[in-house]
Amino acid sequence: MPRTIFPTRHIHTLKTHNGPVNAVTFSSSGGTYVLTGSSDRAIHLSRAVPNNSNSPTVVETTTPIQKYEAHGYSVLDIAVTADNARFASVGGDRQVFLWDVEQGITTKRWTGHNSRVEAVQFAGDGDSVVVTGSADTTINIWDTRSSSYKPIQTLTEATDTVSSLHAHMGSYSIASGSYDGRARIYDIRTGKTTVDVLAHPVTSVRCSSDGNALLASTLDGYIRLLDRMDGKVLNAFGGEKGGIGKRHSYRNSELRVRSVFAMGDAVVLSGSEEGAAGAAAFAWDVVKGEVIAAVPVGEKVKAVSCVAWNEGVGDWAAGCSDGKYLVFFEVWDTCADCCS
Amino acid sequence: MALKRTRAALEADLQAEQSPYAFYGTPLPPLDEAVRDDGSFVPIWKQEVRDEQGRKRLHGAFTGGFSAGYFNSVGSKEGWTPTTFVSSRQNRAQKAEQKRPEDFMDVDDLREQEESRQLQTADEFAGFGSTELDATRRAGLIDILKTSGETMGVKLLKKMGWREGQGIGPKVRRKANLHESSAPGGAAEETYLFAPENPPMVAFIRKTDRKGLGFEGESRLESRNASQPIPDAEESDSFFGERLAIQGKAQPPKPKESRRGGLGVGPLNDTGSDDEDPYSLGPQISYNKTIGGDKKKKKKVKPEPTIASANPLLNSKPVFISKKVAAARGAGGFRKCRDGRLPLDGFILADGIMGLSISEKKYDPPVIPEDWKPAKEISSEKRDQSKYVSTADAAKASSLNPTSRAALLGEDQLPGKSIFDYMTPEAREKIVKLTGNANLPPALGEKAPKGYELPESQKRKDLWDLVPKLDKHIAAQALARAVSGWMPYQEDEKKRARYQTFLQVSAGTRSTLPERVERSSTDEWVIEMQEFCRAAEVFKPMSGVMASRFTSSSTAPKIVSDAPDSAESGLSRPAEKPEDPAVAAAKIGMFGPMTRSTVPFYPSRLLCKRFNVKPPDSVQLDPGEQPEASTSGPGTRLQSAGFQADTGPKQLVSQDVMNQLLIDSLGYLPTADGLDPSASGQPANVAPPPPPVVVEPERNDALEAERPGDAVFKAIFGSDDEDE
Repeated sequence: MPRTIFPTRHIHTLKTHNGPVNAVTFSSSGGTYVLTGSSDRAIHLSRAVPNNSNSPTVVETTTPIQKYEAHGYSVLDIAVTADNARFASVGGDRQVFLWDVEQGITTKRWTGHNSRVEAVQFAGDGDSVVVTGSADTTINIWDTRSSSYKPIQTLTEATDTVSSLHAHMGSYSIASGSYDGRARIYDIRTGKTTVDVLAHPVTSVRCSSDGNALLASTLDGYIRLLDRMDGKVLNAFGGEKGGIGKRHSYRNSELRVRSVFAMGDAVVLSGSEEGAAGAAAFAWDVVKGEVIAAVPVGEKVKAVSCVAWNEGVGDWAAGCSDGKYLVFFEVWDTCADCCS
Repeated sequence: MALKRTRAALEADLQAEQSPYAFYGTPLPPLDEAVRDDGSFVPIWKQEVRDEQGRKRLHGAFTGGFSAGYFNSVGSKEGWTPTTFVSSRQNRAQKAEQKRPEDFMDVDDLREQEESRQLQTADEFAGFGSTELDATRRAGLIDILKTSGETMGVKLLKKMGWREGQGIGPKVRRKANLHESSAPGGAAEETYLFAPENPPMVAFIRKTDRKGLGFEGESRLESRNASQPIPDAEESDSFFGERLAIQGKAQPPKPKESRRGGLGVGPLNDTGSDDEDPYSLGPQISYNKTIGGDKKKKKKVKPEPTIASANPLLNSKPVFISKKVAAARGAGGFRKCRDGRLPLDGFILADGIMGLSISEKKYDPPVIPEDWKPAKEISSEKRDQSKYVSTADAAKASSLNPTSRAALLGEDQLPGKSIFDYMTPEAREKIVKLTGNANLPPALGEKAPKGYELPESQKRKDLWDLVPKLDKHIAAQALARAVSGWMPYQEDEKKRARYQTFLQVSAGTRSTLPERVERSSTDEWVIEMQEFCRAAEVFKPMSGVMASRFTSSSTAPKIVSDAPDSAESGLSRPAEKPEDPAVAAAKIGMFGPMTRSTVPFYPSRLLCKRFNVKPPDSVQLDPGEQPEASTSGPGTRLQSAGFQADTGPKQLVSQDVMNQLLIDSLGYLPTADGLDPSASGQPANVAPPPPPVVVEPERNDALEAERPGDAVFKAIFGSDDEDE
């Protein structure tokens, strides 16, 4: 394995938002920038690593590079295209916005959802479609290329809020997690929907990069790694395993906490709700299922609602749900050259 | 006229002209302000007409006109007051007040009326023991106190069975007194119970006349008729004769038969005798018009003791009996009885000894010796009063039940059983609860005795009657709904099954009785079925647009709007959704086949295009996507024309045809990608995840597949012209 040490050094803190941070995304290639969406209705573009990142102390940034303000309610999710030219955002105003990063304006606005939109993802060839999941229990697929104001397709299988989406282009599939306790994977190529019952509201789904596994966080405090072939659980993270002998324990019972793969699908990274000593971000070894890192983000923080892993550099970010600030943890490994 | 002065100037001059001779001082004002005595001109409208008394004679139209009433008497005390106008529209039906006769009477009339008034009793009142015919008694004050109608006593007697004309007392057994003429035959020996004869009323006749005692006057004269037997019933007047005769009373005097005729008497009826007045009316009371004319006759008649007077003294009044007669009596020893026969030997008539003092002699009861003691002692004296127990109390204190009493009395046990013997313990509990009496015999729950058991068919019929009637239509609808997942009682599998059975029975697809819970009573069963009935009404499907608005949720959201609270409507509320087996498996961690399910997904063609994947076979050609689809190569067109639109067996057939065609034309079966997406015929659900496809925008396998032979297109499209 090229790298075994999970980076835990805190190098950058951004306090640009006035409200809880609901979404955090690195720019696609390189991950130089980070986009954050907050309940203060704004989307901020900031540098992920400050220029003077070599300083031993934690750098604090209070002003973003760019502010994108069009939402009328809190921003709930952000997705960036692969070419970094556009990004999409959704929020409580039931709108789906497609932004031009350079100009800072919306190029498309889709209003087809009847309720809060919880998740957004780019999908398709060349990020040609935008997939959004909403609290109206539907998934809408929007076409970025046509000027149609109607979605290409609406998926209505879910019976409760669609809380998270992940489009995996390798398998031409869209994974969705819903509060009805099911993770659905829509395979466009084979025309099948695979429904995995998890029995608890799903807050986060994420496909592994090879498309064979599905990471799903549920409100019973577990993150499960499901085999996409037959639906078996390959490994489960969280629960009591994280809390034994540890100061922090992974908790997820009521908030939408996102989880991602990290370090080339070798690590599962997830936020958490407030534990005994504040919230923390957790990292598990995928194979062993052990907690390899529990990084506290502060006493006052109630939850780490979202995390993002930047594969290019090997750093990660965590958005804190309760504090007014966005915290970056970024650690350079001892050898900087071993980024995959 | 220029010289005409104005009135004001005239008035001003008046002052000067009124007292033309007042040279000094101020002239006196005129006597009357309104009247001038100067004789100057006064216009007509200022003049007033007055009569000699100084009264105004002319009035306005509303105050009487020229001369209202009798010389202006209107409105004065003596005059006429006009009635105020009353609109008949407002008071339409109001009548003029009722006038009484007194209103039109003058004083004399009123006084006469007052005098004519007298205090009188109504005729219905009569005195005690009197007849209303007795006119002499009517004036008495006592008459007020009694009505002559049916008195209360009579009413009471009638209620007790007494009838008018009967005597009072117990019934008497005697022979039927059919008629005197019917001789006592053999059959007449039979005796019957008859009401006693009505005894004659004792009437004390007040002596109001000045005739001597015992003077009977005219009635004596008539007794001639009464004493003689009536020769014929016809002879008596059919109206006044026989019917008026009251049984037991003295026959009233028979009116003398009078000639009867029609109205008036014609000359033919004239018998020529003058002493009969043909026009005499009413019952002719024949008087003795000749004094002493009947005397001889009268003497011949033997005076008989009258029974009209019931005074016993009358019998013992001193009667002169001639010596001869007395001797005859004494010699004969006996008077004759009424029937004319002699009394039996050794008997004398009671009449004869009445005068003796035998009847008055009384025997005193024997004197009881002082030291006499009765042999029997009255036991009640010995009884202790405090220990007295009434029969009811004693019965209550007895611990015997009917069975043991019967045993004590030696009676045979009755075969009957108590109702409790047939009751179930639950039913007995119910009664205990209702009555609050816990002291009921135990319920034995026996079966009905032989012969009383309901035949099986009857039982079934009764049970069928208990099944609530549900509309067949509704039941069928609810069943159809149940198939698609809309089903109550999802938390209770067995109940759901029963519900389904009930629906089937109601829909007529099943002929057996609806199932019931084991060990449940019929009542519970019926209650449950009624609940099913309501549930079916609630769960029957909505039609059309409404139905499409609701999706059947398989899990969490507990939409209970279509299933109200159980406490309110009796519907069992599907509060807990039935645990999906998948959910149950997931909860216990059994992830895998249990939690995995696959449903078809139909991505739109545009979505597939955006994903740059070939649409799955199941995807229908979207009409809106026609232009884009047509831009694809002929292979795609083939798909859209033949394969994608059809599924199932038809597709297989067409595939066979296709293969045959290809073999025919090419000699081998090509395996081009664009042609056989479904040619492998593998089951759709197996579908191994295809290997990751490297997407090359410049190259499309489907488009660049080997083109099939022309024969294929010829076979399909029929003409070379259309081949591109």
